[in-house]
Order: sequence, then structure tokens, then C-alpha cells
Amino acid sequence: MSSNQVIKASGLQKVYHLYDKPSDRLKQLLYGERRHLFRSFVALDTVNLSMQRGDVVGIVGKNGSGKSTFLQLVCGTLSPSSGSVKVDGRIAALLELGAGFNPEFSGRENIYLAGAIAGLAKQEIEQRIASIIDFSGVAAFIDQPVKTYSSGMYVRLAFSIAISVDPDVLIIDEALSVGDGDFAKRSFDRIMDLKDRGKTILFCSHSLYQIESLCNRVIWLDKGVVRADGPPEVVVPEYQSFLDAGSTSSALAAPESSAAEMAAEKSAASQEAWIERVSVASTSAMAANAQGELCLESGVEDLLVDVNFVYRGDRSRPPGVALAIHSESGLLVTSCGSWEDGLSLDIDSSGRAFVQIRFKAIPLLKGRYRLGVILFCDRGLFPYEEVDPVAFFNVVQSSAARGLVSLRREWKNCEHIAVSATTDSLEASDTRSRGTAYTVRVATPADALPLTQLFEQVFHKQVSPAVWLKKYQNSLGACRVAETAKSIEAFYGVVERFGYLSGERVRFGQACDVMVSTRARNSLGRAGVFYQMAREFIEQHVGIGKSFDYAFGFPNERAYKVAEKLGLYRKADHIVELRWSVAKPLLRRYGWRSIARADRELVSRFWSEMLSDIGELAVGERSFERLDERFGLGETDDYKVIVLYTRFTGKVIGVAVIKFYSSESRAELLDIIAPRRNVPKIVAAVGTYAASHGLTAIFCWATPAAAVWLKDAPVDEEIPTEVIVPTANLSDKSYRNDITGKWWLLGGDTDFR
Amino acid sequence: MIKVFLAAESRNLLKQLVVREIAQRYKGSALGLVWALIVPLSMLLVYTFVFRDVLGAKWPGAESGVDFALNLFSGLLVFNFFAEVLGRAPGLISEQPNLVKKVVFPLELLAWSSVLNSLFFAFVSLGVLFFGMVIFKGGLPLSSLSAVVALLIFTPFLVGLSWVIAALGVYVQDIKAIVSMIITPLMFLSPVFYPVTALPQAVQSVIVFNPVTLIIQAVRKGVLDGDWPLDTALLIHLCIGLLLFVAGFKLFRTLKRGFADVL
Repeated sequence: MSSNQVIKASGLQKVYHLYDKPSDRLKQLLYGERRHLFRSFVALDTVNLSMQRGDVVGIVGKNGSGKSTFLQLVCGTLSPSSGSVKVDGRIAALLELGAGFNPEFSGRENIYLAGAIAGLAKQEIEQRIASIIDFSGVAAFIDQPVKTYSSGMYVRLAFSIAISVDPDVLIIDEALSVGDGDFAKRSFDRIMDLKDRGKTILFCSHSLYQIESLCNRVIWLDKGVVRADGPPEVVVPEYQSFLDAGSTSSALAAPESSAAEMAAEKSAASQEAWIERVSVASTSAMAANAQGELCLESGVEDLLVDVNFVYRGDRSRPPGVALAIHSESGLLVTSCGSWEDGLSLDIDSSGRAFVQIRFKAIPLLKGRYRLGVILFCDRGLFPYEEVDPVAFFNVVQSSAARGLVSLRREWKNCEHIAVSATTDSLEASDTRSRGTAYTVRVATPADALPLTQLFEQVFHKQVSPAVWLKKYQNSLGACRVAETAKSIEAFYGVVERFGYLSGERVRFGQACDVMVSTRARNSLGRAGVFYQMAREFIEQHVGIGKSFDYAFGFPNERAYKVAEKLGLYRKADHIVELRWSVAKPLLRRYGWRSIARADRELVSRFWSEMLSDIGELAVGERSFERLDERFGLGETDDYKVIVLYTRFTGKVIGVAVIKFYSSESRAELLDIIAPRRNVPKIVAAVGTYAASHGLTAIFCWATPAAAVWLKDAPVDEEIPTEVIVPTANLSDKSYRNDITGKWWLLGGDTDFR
Repeated sequence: MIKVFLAAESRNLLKQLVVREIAQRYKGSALGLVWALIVPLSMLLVYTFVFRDVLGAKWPGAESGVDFALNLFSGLLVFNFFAEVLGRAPGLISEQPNLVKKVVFPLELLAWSSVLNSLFFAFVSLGVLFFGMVIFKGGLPLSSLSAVVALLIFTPFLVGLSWVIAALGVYVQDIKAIVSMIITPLMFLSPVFYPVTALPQAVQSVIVFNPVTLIIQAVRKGVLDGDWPLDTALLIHLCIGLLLFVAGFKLFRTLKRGFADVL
């Protein structure tokens, strides 16, 4: 097998032999080919396929077309009747979740058992067990026998185990939505993550929408034979027309799901986002027909669809609304999605949103149409809720035109050429007028009040203008605001941070509080405000001889990707999360006290020792003043800045900054000032500190270089985060030294969490 | 060679299965693993009472009640080992359709797991026997180690037997009934309640074909008589065991292909 080929099926055939009684099957095995005691059913007939690393392959086909058989053959749960299938690498199959569970065993024991079935070694399972339990969300029941679990918990645990295998090949059979909405969303994200990491994914789904958005290749199976194999834009329409041809009689019944199923679907709908109400109206008050369905006139009246929905998830990733209109014969006439039209939906403080879609002078021709509404995740892939049909409407027309839709057209009398058509869209000017003019300028002290208001609107947290000014006092000239004639709509903040790289003292610019109002968020492209602000900052302020030698920040992966795509940032480093579970020791070796003014000297001594251990790496300067500024010594109880010492000798080992997350029963180690040799003791001391406050774990965000120090103390778990540390994407000549992979940063170096 | 019969990557899984099943057996009960001692001991008490005190049976060559009990117990622990494995064998595969059809699972392991699980409890009983020797006889002969060897010699035989019965049990439901029917008579046809020497000469030459006979004799000889029992007969028993092991594996591999079609 070539190195890139992951799956190879050659002459793969599966024939099911149907026996009247089990003993006939035994006789058949013993007779061999001399006699046949069965009837045959060919489920899969001579399939030859190969799949490359990184392929995302969707399999479509009607029920009984051999999809599941094929997936099972690839997994190895079925053996082929002839031919072979070879798979190179670890497979995780989401076919029958929890099938290998022993109901008598506890959840934890089943993790070990199922992990072993999936081929994980004991240490590998131990490394993963905390994240498996965490992801499954059944932590409270993990030591109960799984026979006491609800079916949702059972499936969630099984999914968490299956996905934790870190497979090279992931096989999914209609299992994309597992458990309740929130879990389904997270599991979907996990699958997307595998896709992003270039793993091979093989899945079958009835949702052509999902297939089209996810796959780079689609295989259509029909009666056990590959009927088509190619890119989705070729295969899906072909398959769709095959389905449409076969469903002429389906009329307006909801496709593939009865009313009862729909109700079930709704009750299992997401806890995170759901559709509250949908109403359909037309511009004139034309009477409804006898069934109470809306009637409107083709090409004259507007169709208005109002959608109210509730969203309880992450506000920076609001959902999208999609509409689908089917004709009476079941043909999909058109669909549209808010995210595709570049609209970001506004959600009010109570999590409600209201959006209206207007189809101007409805171009549909006469007939009865079915309208469906789907609430999607921000990427338009994962459906939170689908209501189809949500309404029916009737279009009437005065003309004699036939068909489904009236296309926009232009007629012209020409003298010599028989027909001439213009291809220019009439609406070209319309689409351009969407953009609003924003001016980007340097921030001034007078912006403090509107910016704190914008901050509250975007992050839902309050901050006073005075604190704001103090934070940006030394770097206001590098900060940018974008405004319309009326108001400030976006901000790109930069604070000054001194530090060291390769032993030299340098001035860093740390991007903070980058925010864009929901109104200005439509455009994340080069015409958008974010690009303009960030580009100005980078071009005017970063590099040799400019205000800052280097720039950095802590955007999440999503924000980073936008900036990377625009050519503004490149990845310099990333953040990992280290975790330790802690318990009260029998004998306390370490003590602590709050930091005091008198400790200024101590901090500076520890810092200089620490700096010499850091050597060539890039690090932000630490000092008593910095601790005071960042963590507000004596002003707030949010952060505990403590001096740690050995109780036995009374010798101080270093300074640590800790934040409690009591609801999660853990604490974050935000910062350390100590030489490297003391770090294991500090981790132990902070562990004792956290345990004595009734917490069970501590964690720490760190770049890999800083994590090396922390890992001098045995770490229970290391998990990736989605935080990237970028650097301004300038030519190498703009910098004195390459900073890539050299950051020594901890959670306390970030701005806010 | 063992790699063929027990793949390296399956060993962790086997360990998980055995450890968890052992822990499972008395899980949730207040006494926990103590039951592993109580069960054989109580059986021992009942049998001793019935045969010696009610029926007045005597152990030839031994006068005291303690001797009767120790002899009976040695027989019983070997027979229980055998009976447990045999009783479980028909359902090993047929009661686990999920493992056959829904996940990729090395089904051969189930026989291993069943035998090793029972072997563990046989060793626990052997420990009880050793303890009894120390208490009632004031010591334990070095040859007692041969009892451990005898149980290990029995192991490949039992794994092979489990493979055969488990594989056939998938196709022929009657196997389960047949097995449960023969276990009880088999106890009386094994030298559990009597020594082989108490039988008529003609029967003695037949009873050695009962697979537990030689093992029971070896345990008694090694532990109770202080005599090393490792003779040719036992060697032949081992060879037959290994043959059954290999043949059972082959048969299991052949019949495995049809499991998914039937379950």
C-alpha cells in the first residue's frame, strides 16, 4: 500500500447466506462447497475503492444499498465473502456505540474495557481517562454500573471513548448527532477537529446537505454496486435527481420522516438553541385559502418569513438560520442561509433573536410550496433544530407562464442578430451597497467611555473608563478604533509589555480587547474593519525601529484563523493546558502567605534568577509593579498572589498567582516567579494550597517552552487548547530574532480569560 | 508459539477481562472476595457431613475426619475448576452477540478469560487447602508445589475444550442442555468422594479417561501424601491437553466465520 493510501478495497463482495436454522450454517461450514443449504443475498458486489489520507468520503444510497455493510467490512466487524479490504492505521467506528460495554461494570471499568477492545494500552487509557470522563459529562455517575445509565449517558460515554482513540480513520454511520444538543454540538466539533487534522473520515448520511459541506468525495452505492464516485458537486446532484425521480408520488408529505418522528426529533432538540416561532406572511392582506394557508401573487407580493429563536451558547458564534422551499412534487426549489449571505444574527441579552427574511416580489410560479426552517451552528454544518414543513403557501399568478420559477430577464429587439442576452446581473449594485463606510483612526482618551460601552456590549462584562485609560495609557497611540459617523464600532487594543528575547530587553505590543460590534461584524474580509485596524497597527508599529519590537496576543483559534487568512498573523506558538489533581497531604511541607509591599526585593531577586534560567526564550518581564497592575494586589479577591515557603526550613521558594474556579472545584495557576529548580516545589505547594481550600485539581495554561518547566513536576494530564499565540506576519527582516516556538508564557500573561 | 493463540495486542484486553470479571463476581457484596473462600468451605462442610457422618463413608487408609475433609476438598477444587469452565463454555459466544457483530473483538479471548478466571478461584481454594494442611497436619510438604503444576497442566486442555464447546454452542443450542445435564453425574463419576483405589480394578482403568482423575490424584499425592506425582500418565494428559488446545483453536477459527450469520 502506498504511504498515502489508507483504505483499499479490492473486489470486495459480501453475500449474505440465509439459513433456515443455525445448524444448517454449521453443516455448511463442515461440508464446504459440496452442497448449498442457503439462499443468497448479495449486499455488496465487487467494490474496488481506495481512499487517501485526509479524504472525507461520504457514502450515499437508499436504505439497503449496502452502505452499512460496506462500513462494517471496513471496520472488520463483517468478513468479506470474497475480495479484501485493507486499512492502514487505527480505526474508530461510531457504528454501534456502546456495543462492547458490560452493563454490570462501572463507567470507569467500561472505559478500560472498551479502550482495550479499541486497542489502547493501559497507559494510553490512563492518559485519556480524565478527558474521556470530562467530555462525556457523566462524571458524577462514573463509578456506577452502566446498566443504571440512561440511554443518553450510555451513548455519550461510548462516543467519548470511541473518539478518544485518536483514530487515523473515523467511520460514522448516521451517528453525527449523539445525545442532547449541547453534546451533539461538541461531538460534532470533535469530528471536525479530526477532519482539520487531516484524518480520513468515512461516513454515511441521508443529509445531502451535510455530505456536500463536509466531503471532498462522494460514493453513491446502489444495490451493492458503486453507481458514482467523485466530487460532491458532481455526485450529489446526480443522486438528488435519482431521488427526485423516485419520489414523484411523495407529494407534500415530509420527506423520510412521519409526523411522529418529527415530534420525537423536536423533543430531543438542542438545549443550546431552538426555534421558538416561525410565521409566514405576505405584504398584502390577501385572504388565506380554505385550509388557512397563505396565498400570494407571483411576481407581485413579497413573502415574509419571521423566525424567532433562542440561543444559549457562545455569543461570539451565533447560529445561522436557513430556509428551504420544496415544490409539491418534493423537488427542492431553493435554499438559503443567513451565514452564506454574510449576515451575523443579533442576539439580545436574554438569548432571543428575531430575524426576518423577505423574498421580494416572489419569483415562484403558481403551485403549492412547502417551507422548512433550519437553525444551524455558526458554520452552517450542524443543525440545532430542523422544522420542515413549518408552513405551506400557495402562489397564484395572472400570467400563463409555466414551471416553478420566473427568471429575471431582459428582452430586446435587434436588427441583425436574432437574440441577444445580457448576462450582467441587474442586482450588482444592490449587493455592493450593503457595506457601510467605517473610518479607522488612532484611539484617544476621549474614546474611553464609548469603548467601555462597546466592551460591555461585546463581552458582557463591565469595566470603568478610568481603568481602561490606565491600561492603555502608555500605548494609546498604537490602538485603533473604527467608527461610523454616529458611533465607534470596533477597537484594536494594544498594551505595552516589556520583556526579554535572547537575553535582550525588548518592547512587546500585546493585542488586547480586540472587538467588533455585531453591526460591523458582517465583513471579515479585507474590506472589513478588523483587517484595516490590524493592518495599520502592524505596518506602523511593529518591527525594528517602530514602537514595538514584536507583537503578540492570545486569540482563540477561530479569530486567529481569520487573521491568518487575511495575511495579518502567523503562528508563533500555542497554549497547552496542564492538569494536576491534588489532595491534602498528611504532612504539609509548604506554607504560604499573601504578598506584601516588603516583598518587592524578593520578587526582583526571584525574577532575575528566573530570567537567567529562561535564557534565549521570549518572556514578559515580571516585577512587583507588574503583579500589582495585572492582578490588583489588595484591591480584589479574584487573584491570590502568594509567597510560598518550605515549612521545615522557612526558606521562600517563589511567588505564585492563583485564581479559584470554585464551581469547577479547581484553581488556575496563573503565574510563577521562581527559578526553574523550584518549579516542582511550587506546583506541589500550590496543590496543597488548593487542596486546603477544598479544591480537587489545579491547572495551568502554558506555552510548550513553559510547560517543560512545569512538567518537572509529574503532570496528570496535558490537553491542547484552542489558543494560538500569533506574531505579526511581517518579513523576517523586520525582526531582530525569530520568535517562533520561543515563547515562555503562562496564563497570567494573557489579558483576560 | 503462544502468539498464534493469544496475540500480543490482546493481552492487555485479556488482563482487563480477567481482572474485572474476578472483581465483578463478588462486587457489591459486603464480604467481597471472602466469598471465594466461604463457598468451597461450606460445600466442604456439607459434603463431609453427609458422606462421613450421615452415610458413614470412610476414606480408605485414613481414619480421622480431617483426612476425609482434606481428601474431599482436594477433589472438589479440581472438579469445580473443571465444572465451572465446562458450564460456561456453551454460552461464551452465543451469549455475546454484540461482541460478535457490533465490535471488532478477538473472540478467542473469551475462552482464555473464562479459564483464567476459574483458575484464579482454583488457586484460592488451593491456598485454603494449604492452610488446612498447616493447621491440621502441622506442615506442608515441598511436593505441594506439584498441585500448582497440575492445575497449570490442566489449563491448555480446558482452553481447548472451551473453544470447541463455545464454537459448537453457537450453532447447536442443545449443547447447553447436554453440558448442564452431564455436570452433576460427572461429579460422582470422578474420584471426588472416593479414591480411585476404592474402585474395582476394571473401573479403575476406565476412570483415568475422565480428564479430572489424574489431576485430582496429582493434587492429593503432592499435597496430602508428600510425594511428587509427576509421572508419565500426567505427561500424556498434558500432551492430550495440548492437542485439544491446538485442534480446538483450529476448529474455533473455522467456525468463527459463520458466527455473525447465526447470532
